Amino acid sequence: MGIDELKNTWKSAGESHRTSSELKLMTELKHNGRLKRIRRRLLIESMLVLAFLTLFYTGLDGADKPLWTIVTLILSGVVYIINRLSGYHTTQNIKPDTTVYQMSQDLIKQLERLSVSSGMSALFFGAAIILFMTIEIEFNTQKYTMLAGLIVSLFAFSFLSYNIWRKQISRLQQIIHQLSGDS
Amino acid sequence: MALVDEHQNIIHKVSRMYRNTIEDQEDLFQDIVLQLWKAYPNFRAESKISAWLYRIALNTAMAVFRQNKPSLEFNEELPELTSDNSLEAKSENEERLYTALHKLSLAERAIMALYLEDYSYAEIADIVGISENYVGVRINRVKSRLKKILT
Repeated sequence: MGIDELKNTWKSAGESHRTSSELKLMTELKHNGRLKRIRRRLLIESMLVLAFLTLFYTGLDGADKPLWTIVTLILSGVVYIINRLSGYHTTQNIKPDTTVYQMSQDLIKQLERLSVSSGMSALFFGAAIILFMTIEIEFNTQKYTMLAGLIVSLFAFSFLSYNIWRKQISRLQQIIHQLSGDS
Repeated sequence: MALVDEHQNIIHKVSRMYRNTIEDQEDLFQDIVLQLWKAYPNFRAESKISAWLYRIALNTAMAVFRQNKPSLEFNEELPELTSDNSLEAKSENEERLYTALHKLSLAERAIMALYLEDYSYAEIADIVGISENYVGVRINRVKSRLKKILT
């Protein structure tokens, strides 16, 4: 296949079968399939966080715990949800009206901030849960073992939250390397 | 919206070039239309509309992260090239071209799409964000790679 044939094939490729009304619908956020799925996932996550908070408060005699642990637990849950919403906002509000190189650089900066804040907010939320569960408990060997397990899970959870964005960052870094000839 | 309607084949081509499955291509198509809609108020009339559209489409394809899923339609083997002028031949050539483009890196695909669309090196440099000279270097490399892939 020669270059002229490739050009002809490319120029004649593509479909134009969508009607104006179908295209108009695509400009509305509520009709965007991908964003709809992200919003649904966010809603489920938020409800799970809320359910966790309620469960911990009622199931673990929340009323008997020190007020500051309750406040910390609620605050950490709220921070976690806000961070997830901020992730949605960042991925939805990209700035594509620039060069590919510039867009990749700008997005990497935003995603790096997001990956750190995701890891931190997950760490804060997990630590608040552990604190709430363990405060005013008399520890024995078995309980110390359980605490160690919880702490390991907490770090794994924080790392996963941090890592969610790392794959996208590394993909954008590859684009920059490919464009600048470093690859 | 008329502009998008008129150039929707570009959006379709970019979606197919950057996503493997029909479902992902449809999602990307929608994302590009949404981003075009949002970016249109800043569109400068002196720019070529198709170049602006390519810029938004390519950036959206690269910015919107989608975990690559294996494609059921994706063939490792390239279909035999046919020189018939029938619709079937056109479709086979298209399939062959997309299969080859999928073997390039994300950045190479962007440069190649613009080159195949007959944009000048200056226009490609303006969309991609690298120097004109370097566009030439990259195009020569990608052409050689494509040649190898297609033989």
